[in-house]
Amino acid sequence: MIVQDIPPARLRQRLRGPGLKLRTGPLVNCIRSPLAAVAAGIALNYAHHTVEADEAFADFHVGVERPRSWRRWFDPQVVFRFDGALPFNPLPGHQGLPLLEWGLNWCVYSHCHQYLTLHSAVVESGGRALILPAPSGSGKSTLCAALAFRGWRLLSDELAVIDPATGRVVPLPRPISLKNKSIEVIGAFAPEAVFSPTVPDTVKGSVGHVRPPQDAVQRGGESALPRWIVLPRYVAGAPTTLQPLPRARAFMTLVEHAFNYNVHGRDGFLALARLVDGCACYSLSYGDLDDAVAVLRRLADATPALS
Amino acid sequence: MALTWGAAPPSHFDWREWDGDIVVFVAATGDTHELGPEGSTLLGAMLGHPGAWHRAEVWLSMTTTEVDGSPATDFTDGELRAFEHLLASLQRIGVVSQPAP
Repeated sequence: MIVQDIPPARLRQRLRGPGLKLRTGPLVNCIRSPLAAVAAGIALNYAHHTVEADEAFADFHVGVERPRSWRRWFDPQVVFRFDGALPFNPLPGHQGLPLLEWGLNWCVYSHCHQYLTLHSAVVESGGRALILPAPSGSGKSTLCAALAFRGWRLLSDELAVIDPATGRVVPLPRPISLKNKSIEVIGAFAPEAVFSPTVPDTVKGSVGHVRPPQDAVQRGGESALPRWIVLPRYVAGAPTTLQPLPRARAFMTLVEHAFNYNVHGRDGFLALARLVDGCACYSLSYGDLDDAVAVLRRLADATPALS
Repeated sequence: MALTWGAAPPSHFDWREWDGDIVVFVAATGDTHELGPEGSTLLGAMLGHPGAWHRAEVWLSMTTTEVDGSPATDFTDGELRAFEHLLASLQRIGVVSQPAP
């Protein structure tokens, strides 16, 4: 069963009651929330995601709810609950949906130490993964969304999840988080993209989420072999340039963007070194999304297919 | 007796070299370092001579060439001091050591 098969009333009932066991890639999240906006957001953003049976094992038990405080009567807030604890401070009441997404990211990078997790978008073409590590504000998610609607398969817009045993990137297809002007940009670039309502005034500005393409969700069990590491940077008005990046620099960039590299110790070093060994490394500066997508398509087309 | 230097034992660190640039993972600290051009050249020379202990000026000579490609032998005090500083910094991170007395 997938989320869109569940009638809205029953979806809300599950979220208010035992929880919705939502599969995202290799993980199952048991989500509870009494909030209508969160239910509506899940119905929209996760429409194609698999819902596991009530008795299925869940990796994470999370909730988004109103805190039990007198403030809820005049200044409602929302909190993220994880295994009964509240790991974050409350946020303004209208931010339940972004809080759920941020919380689910946190669950992965704070707890999934069977993987090496990088702050990076990842897309795939021909079984080969393009890793886009970058800090917030660099245009990473915008570029990732553009690629995801131009023939690349979305693996993740926020977390590169690497299995250190195989070196492969494990998909985590979840909504693509866009901020501020990027929401309009992708709306114009990919009119077929489905957005949840924009949430204003978050710590990151206005935030909107794009539903991941159906194909990316359906292929959420297919890992990919890292083949390119590209450090993207949006520069308004700049021409698109793709420059080779020294591998040692690419390696250190991955270390800087890793959430749990220190947890893996020597094995993490060796895993990232193997990853860099197998990749062509570049930095990409772009001011035009169509150009950037075309440059990366040419790069993919010029790279031998996997045998 | 003059100080001598060499690569730390292989069990102390892992390293990877790409196009002459070396990055290292130091087991004792869990830290990862990018050595930069001079550090990479020096550690590369030491790794090419496992177990060798040399004075700073010998390593400097081995990692510096004249215009004609021959090993350089004539160094200023400033060059030597800068090189000793490099040795000390690599020792600090754990990839270069001095023989036990």
